[in-house]
Amino acid sequence: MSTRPMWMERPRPSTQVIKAIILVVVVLLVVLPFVSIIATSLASQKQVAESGGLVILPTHPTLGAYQDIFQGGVVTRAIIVSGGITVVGTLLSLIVTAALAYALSRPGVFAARPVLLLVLATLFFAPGIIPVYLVVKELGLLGTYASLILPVLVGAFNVVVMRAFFMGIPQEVLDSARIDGASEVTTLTRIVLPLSKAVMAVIGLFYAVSYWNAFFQALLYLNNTAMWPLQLVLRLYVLQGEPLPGSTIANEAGVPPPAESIQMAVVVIATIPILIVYPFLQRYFSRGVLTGAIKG
Amino acid sequence: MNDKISRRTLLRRGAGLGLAATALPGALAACAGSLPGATSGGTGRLPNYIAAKVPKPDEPGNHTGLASGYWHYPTDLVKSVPEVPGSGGDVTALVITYSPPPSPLSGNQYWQELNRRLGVNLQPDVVDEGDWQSKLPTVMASGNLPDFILLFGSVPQELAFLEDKCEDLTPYLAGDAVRQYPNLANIPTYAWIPTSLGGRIYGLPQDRGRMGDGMFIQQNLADQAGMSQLKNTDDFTRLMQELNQPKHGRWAMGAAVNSIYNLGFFQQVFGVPNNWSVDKNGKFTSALETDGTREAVSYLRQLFQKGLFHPEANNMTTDQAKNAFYGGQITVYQDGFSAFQTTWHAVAAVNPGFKTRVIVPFASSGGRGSYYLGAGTFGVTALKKASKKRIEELLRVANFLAAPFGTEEYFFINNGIEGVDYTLDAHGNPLITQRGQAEMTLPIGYGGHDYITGPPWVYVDTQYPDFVRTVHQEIELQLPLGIADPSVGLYSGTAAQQGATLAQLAVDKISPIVAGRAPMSSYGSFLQEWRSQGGDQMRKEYQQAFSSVHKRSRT
Amino acid sequence: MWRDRLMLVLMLPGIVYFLLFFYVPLLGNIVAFQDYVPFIGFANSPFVGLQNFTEMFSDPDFWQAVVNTLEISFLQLVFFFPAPILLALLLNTLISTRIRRLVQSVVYLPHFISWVIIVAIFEQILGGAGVIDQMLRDHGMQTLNIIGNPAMFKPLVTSQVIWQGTGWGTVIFLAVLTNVDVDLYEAAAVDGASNWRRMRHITLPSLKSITILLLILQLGNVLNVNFQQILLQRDSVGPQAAEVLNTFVYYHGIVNGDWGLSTAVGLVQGVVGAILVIGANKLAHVFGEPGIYQ
Repeated sequence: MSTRPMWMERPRPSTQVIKAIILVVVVLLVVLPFVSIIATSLASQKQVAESGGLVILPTHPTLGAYQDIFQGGVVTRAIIVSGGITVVGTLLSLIVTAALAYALSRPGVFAARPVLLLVLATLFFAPGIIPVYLVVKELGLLGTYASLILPVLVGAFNVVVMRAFFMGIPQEVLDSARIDGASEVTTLTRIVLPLSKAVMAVIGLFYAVSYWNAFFQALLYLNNTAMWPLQLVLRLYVLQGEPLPGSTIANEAGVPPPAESIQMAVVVIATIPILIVYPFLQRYFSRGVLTGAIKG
Repeated sequence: MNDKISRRTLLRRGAGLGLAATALPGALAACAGSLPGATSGGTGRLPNYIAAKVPKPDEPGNHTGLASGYWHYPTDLVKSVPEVPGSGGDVTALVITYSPPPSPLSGNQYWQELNRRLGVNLQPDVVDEGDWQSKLPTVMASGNLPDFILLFGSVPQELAFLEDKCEDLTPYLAGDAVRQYPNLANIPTYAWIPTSLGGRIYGLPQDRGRMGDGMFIQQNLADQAGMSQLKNTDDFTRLMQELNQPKHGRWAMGAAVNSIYNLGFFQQVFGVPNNWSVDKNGKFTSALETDGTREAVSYLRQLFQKGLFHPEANNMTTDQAKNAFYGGQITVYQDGFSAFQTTWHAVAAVNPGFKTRVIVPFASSGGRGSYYLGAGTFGVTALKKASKKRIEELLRVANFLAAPFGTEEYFFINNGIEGVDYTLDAHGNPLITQRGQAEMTLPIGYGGHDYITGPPWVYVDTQYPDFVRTVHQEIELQLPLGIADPSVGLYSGTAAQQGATLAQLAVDKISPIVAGRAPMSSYGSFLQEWRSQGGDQMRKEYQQAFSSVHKRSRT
Repeated sequence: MWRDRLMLVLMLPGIVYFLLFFYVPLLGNIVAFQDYVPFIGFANSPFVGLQNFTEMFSDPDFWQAVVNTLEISFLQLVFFFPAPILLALLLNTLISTRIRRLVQSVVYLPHFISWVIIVAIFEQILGGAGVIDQMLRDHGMQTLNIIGNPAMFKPLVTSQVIWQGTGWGTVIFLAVLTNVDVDLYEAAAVDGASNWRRMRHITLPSLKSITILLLILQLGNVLNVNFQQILLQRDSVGPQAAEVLNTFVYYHGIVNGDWGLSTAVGLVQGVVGAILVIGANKLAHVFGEPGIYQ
């Protein structure tokens, strides 16, 4: 499939070959370890021990590690919790971040500079764990799902990046909208946001990934394990090795899967949802969004 | 993954790593052992030991360190708690966990039944070890403490915290008072010693037996080499050279991170005291200050120069070291003695031809070596200050959780409900079901994970009776060599505050000497640094605590 | 102000967030000047003045950690920072959308692997018992000895960061490139500009602002390097080569619950970062770039 536009010359074969080699190498460097991760998640204790850790190809693949993780429904439940937190959190974060970044991106807005500095300073200094805990406690958020979202609602980095994008929208575009009689709100919703699909997708991805991967808030603020998100639950699977002696417990499943397999299965389980979502976001990374909008 | 025995184990896993914590070798752990019986460093009155009646073990033990062994489940279970201990309210607890979270209470029949039998609504707040050091201080600062709070790892101002916020359990448990709670009275005395600070009992123990670390060896190879019994360091060097075959991907020795190339084992060989020694004038000397430790370091340096260590030695996670041992990439490494059983099982699954043993420490130039006894308990669980009635209720709950092997209560905690959590095999031994595995992972007892308090340590293995026999033999060989850490039960604020940093200092400064990156002579400057950064202060505090306890016990 | 009322309303939730969850708890950083004991609280812990700072500055291990941190940051700035830009440019020249998307959705994956596993993967390939050294040993050749060699430690951790972060880092640059007006390319091509000239005069300038912005932010982070990554490998070469500020804080503060010292180091990192960012931003203005703020 070639989408080469008319004006673009046919690339030289030598360049093509070099490009292809670089890409193949880059992709292999990424893919091979991943294959090994998946292989290890399917391997037996014997194979893990003999290979000294990671396995390249499982000789007798078993889903034992996955069965171990999914039994009892704890992980399934945690996936639902994490999914919910990620969706709600990402939406809220995007709205608040975009609003703040947009206001800070317009020239001459009252107090914009001090507010920007206020935001920037948060990049360098971090409040301690205990003071934040006390704030969360005072707000009555302990033990609520809100405690997984509100304390990490906005990232200064994301505000700065989004603001830079908004500032990159040519002033003429906004001016022409205003001449057409559009209000500030209309300009924002009809012109600016449609022009910013790419940055929204990127920042949304950043937020989504951080909500999806977060465990620390849950660790501190939730003590009911039934409310735990996926990553906190999975952390405990990574730690789970063998039962303590004094009680090596005979169980129906026989020999428990090796710690490494569980660890790798955890990587796979935690990564698959991102793998699924990414192609949807990719659509917004396509070319010509800006041109289309201006012409249209 | 085994929890570790050292009470102030250096918690080195950063947030969220899948690594096992590694206990430091005896000499470095701030608090890693105690003298059996009366000669202990400094304790006030402890609970009297009163043995509970349990079915006869297959390998009988005693209460001074030889844990009983079983390879059958007894059929004549004893009921040890006649009345429901609780009065129906909530009981909260902050505990560590090494297991996945249990399935939620609403659908968890085991947890519901446990609550019914305890007569409380048990709500444990569970934290994995990697995050423990973030959560514990946060809970301490938050002002609302749970009923049970496990103290493990670094607890700043521990004594002041205990005095201010936690109940002094001495009136409830010291001497014969513990009779009220027969299962607590059945916990061996050595496990209680670390629960006592400043002469008062501030918490409940989790018995881990008397053993500390063990130097695991693939004994079949030693037997093949005709060196089943090692008599001195020359023997050891020769055996290691024999077993070392890098070309075939096999190295003589492995070492887990923070173990300083298994230094702890060689300190035992070179006659070094367990962490501290105290002379008759009450003067304390650190193990690090002895010539024996220098000799051990110098010996390890030779072994390293000969290329006898696995290339990743000393930076292997405990998991990696274990796997390398199971797979035969290393033939010797040090781990917690409590890892013996899982090692046995894993080796049986991977390399059934291997014969796993623990090396009995020999002396460097021949004769008897010494063995560092463990701290006896995993941690100490304190109780939030409360009314007498409430404390008694909580102690009754603890008494239930401490029910020993052979009781109905123990059987329930470890096996759950028949038909739901376990089924019986042909020999009448319970087999845990998948559902059971998902329901029972509350860290209050199942699988030995008893982080409120638990029963005396036992070895149970229905699958490998040979293991139970072997472990008994090994313990019987090593216990007589046992030496304890005289600082256990003495409070040093510096040890509580600086202990982990000082331990890391030793790791950081001694490892390069062994690896040949620093000269042997730099040991002296390390020692100076260690003394000035808190070592001397620790000595002073231990000496003061020691003399004040001794004065008190004389009056 | 009234004129800007809509903008102020838009700002409000964000401002409230930062005040509530950042600036209020930031007051807790007072513990840098205290011998803070959690169960006693901020109000009652004794003040010790600058003791936490003097303790830190007089410790030679602290300065060794500063030096190591700066060296690693420098390597990352030189070798890691440009990597995503180069990869993004390469991806951008691909004509086939399908291949571009496929490559894109593969290369960002390492971002989701935890450091424990990344370190294990590197060990298994480059370690003394790893695939390469074992092969060399089989053929009687000198082994590489990359892991466990203090001299190789910094290049090693830099290469790990490149492996882990390059693909993920392209996301932002690719998003910027989508905003480049295709008409510009077409016009240039019609004017006879070669592929290479179009890259130099259209593509690269379009990435300039975002690159400078990220570079400035990166400078603010020079005293922060990846904690878990270093912690996991520090003992293979010892602190002389591998202690960085974040591991220093961990071993001297966090493991002991010494919040005063940890916070003091954090403040120093913050002040240095802020100074560098302010300086770099000024410098950007000199060259006529907007930087991160005006």
